[in-house]
Amino acid sequence: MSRKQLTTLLGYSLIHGVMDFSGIALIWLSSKSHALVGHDILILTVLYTLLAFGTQPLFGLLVDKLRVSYESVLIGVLLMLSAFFLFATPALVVIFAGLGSALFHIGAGSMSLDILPQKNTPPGIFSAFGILGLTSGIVVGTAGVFYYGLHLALLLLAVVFVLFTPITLSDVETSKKMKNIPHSKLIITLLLIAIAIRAVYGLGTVFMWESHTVYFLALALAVAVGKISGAIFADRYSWLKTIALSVFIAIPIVVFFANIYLAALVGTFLFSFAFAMPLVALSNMLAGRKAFVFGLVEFMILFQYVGGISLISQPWLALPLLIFSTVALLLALRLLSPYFKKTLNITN
Amino acid sequence: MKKLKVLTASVLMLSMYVVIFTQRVLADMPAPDGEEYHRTSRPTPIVNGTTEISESKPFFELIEPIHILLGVVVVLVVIGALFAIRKMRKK
Repeated sequence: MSRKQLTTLLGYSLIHGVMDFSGIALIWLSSKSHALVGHDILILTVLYTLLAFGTQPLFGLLVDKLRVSYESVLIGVLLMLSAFFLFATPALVVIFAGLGSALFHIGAGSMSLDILPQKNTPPGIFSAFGILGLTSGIVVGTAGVFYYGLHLALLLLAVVFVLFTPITLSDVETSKKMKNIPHSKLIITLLLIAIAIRAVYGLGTVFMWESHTVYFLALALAVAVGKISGAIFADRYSWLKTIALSVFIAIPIVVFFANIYLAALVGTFLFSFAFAMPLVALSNMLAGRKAFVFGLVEFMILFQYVGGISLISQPWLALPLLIFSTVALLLALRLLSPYFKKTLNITN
Repeated sequence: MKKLKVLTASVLMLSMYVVIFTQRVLADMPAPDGEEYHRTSRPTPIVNGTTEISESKPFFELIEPIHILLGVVVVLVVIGALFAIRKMRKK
């Protein structure tokens, strides 16, 4: 990776954090300033999630077709900046922040998949900053502390960085690769099932101790470090080995020892190792549709509302579900490996 | 081409701020009875002068139809801007 690519990746990853922080913090703070109650804030947050994540596949298709990833990012940060000034009206904050977040994610996400198309590390780093931003946003929003000037400065810096650091995606026009892969629909279905179940776990789980702010932030840090470490391990060794040695150890820990703080942190850290692999696999299968792929994976986050379950209280439901999702992921990657032998480090 | 992108973004930003400031002016405009013209939240009822009781709002009071309309307009403007950028780039 060249120095320029690294600067672009780190810059956009930091902005990813700022965007995720801003979206959720602005909704909470704007709602609180209008004395809205928890139920109302929940509705606004769900609407924001629907706009920010639910619209990504559709915008992704459009952005891939028109090849306007950079412009999508630029419009995204401008919309988020506008949401900041719309603080007086929570509903408008939801609309502007939600659409801004969606456009930013698909544009910058496709860049992270394109920088080194066969590697997990760039999308791993990019997504790690997102979870840190989102968690910080929840903490600041629920605490009701608003650093007006600092927040505005962060958003303005994001706009300036995007204006002066354009991204260009490599020219891959068609997805011929997919036509040559047998069982491609089965592979895609297995990958999406694995992502959906992991999303239910990742966001639907409520640890008993996470209401404590420091523990909550530590949990987010464990996820972020896990995503980056897993991506690096997978690139260095092999995807299947990384999944086998991390997720299968993580599952019993997070299911049966979730009430023990340190054990849950370690389990969450290991469980996050496999985040980037389905994303990179899909983007290689559907070459030239990186924005759509990133949007599709983010869309799966909506499954937290389908599940919304506390896996801690139902370990005997959680255990088979998580094992099934991991087996689905391994099977999909195993089926895929012969066709990307020279490019993806799936089996090594 | 770079100038074109910046110009497009600036026009988009400007048009959004027109909407924002119109909305904010409307929010501050006093109604004949002295109340705010466009109140986005109801006053919190106070019991015995000290205890605040908040209640949740109906959905369409939380998200008013004008907000939904504005959201649709923003989506259309964004899609239009993306198509326009693509068209200008081809030229």
